[in-house]
Amino acid sequence: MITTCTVCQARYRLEAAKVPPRVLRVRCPDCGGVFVLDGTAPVAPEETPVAGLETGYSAPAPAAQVEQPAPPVSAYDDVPVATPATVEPPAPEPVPEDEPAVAATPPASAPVESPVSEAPAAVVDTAPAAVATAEAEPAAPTRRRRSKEEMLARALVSDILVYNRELRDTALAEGNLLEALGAEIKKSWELYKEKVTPEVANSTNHFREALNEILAEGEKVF
Amino acid sequence: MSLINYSSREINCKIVYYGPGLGGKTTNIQYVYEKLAPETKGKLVTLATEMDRTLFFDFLPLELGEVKGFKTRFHLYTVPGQVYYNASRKLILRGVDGLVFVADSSEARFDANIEALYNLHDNLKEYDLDLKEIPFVMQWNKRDMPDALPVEELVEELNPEGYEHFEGIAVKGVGVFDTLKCVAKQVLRQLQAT
Repeated sequence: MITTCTVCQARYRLEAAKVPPRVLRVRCPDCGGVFVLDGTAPVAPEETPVAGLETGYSAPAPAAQVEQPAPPVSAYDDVPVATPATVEPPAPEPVPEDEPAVAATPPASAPVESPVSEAPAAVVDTAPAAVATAEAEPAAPTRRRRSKEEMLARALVSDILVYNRELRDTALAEGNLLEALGAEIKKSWELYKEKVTPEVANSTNHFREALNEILAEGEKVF
Repeated sequence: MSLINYSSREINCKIVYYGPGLGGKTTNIQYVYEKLAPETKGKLVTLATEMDRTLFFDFLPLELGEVKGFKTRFHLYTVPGQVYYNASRKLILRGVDGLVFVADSSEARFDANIEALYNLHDNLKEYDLDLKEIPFVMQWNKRDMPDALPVEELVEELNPEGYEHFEGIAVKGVGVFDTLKCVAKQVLRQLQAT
């Protein structure tokens, strides 16, 4: 089946057999956005061949991940699970450990342009009764390959989050992250520039990416 | 660099709790403070500045054994953990005799742990100090968090040198005294050797 990221419109081919018959939240490997995939929707015929989306394709990029159920909220909790506005408050069913992995295979380069069936997205709009989740695959240990600059950016942004968690949660829900945390972000950005040099800060995307991933929970806010 | 007070025949040792913001440094020290007998401890001092949140300066003497006829008084300090407050961190490190690194086991704070460790090395360097020559213990705190990384992974990433380390849940006191005793023992051993 083909699914479309509702954030960036990238399309992915999924093996229908591996998609649990439930409504899932999926993270797009291309933009990091979280969208809803309805595993109960009838599989639309893939009449349009989609270049670069062969199921056998072995992708170097991280695969789209189906989100874990949101764990109980705690003071320390920082699991970056985005909740799209269109989704009802999740009532996750317990997912057995051996739940088959679901992963969208990312395209080789840019998302395909050719039109594919919009069926899964349409079904999502009918407001699912329950949102079930499953784990796609263990989190890739990409952090080991992070540069010192990237680590610093992420540490700074993570600081903003842990010291302003309530404010962030409210701002994220209300869509005014920048207004609410602008002063903190600016302060951290200035320090970041000072530490890595303005040239490095401005020629890389580490800080922006950290803001989007950590503060905006994967949404492209910044 | 411990300070010797000849009139009271005391050696003063400074132990600094280092680590990322909200990782449990203050919780460690508060737990220690609560559990100590009143006659063995001084005032717990908190210095809050600017943002009125992380800049704690905790002072806590605790007496333990004797070295060459001198009593040893330990002064425990925490540093502000936020990356932003490095000037205070550097200042508090001055004259340090022993270090505890309180790491946050949460995956979400992994980068903050790494950054804090880099920062510790950098700040020690400014005082011509090397972590390898200072009594040092690591604590993997918040083991009860749902996203706590496996200890093996924390050790691999943060402690390849193999420093002594303990698991902790500082809010419940787990690992708090193990960590403190370990660093205190190292400090005393170093004092005996000098």
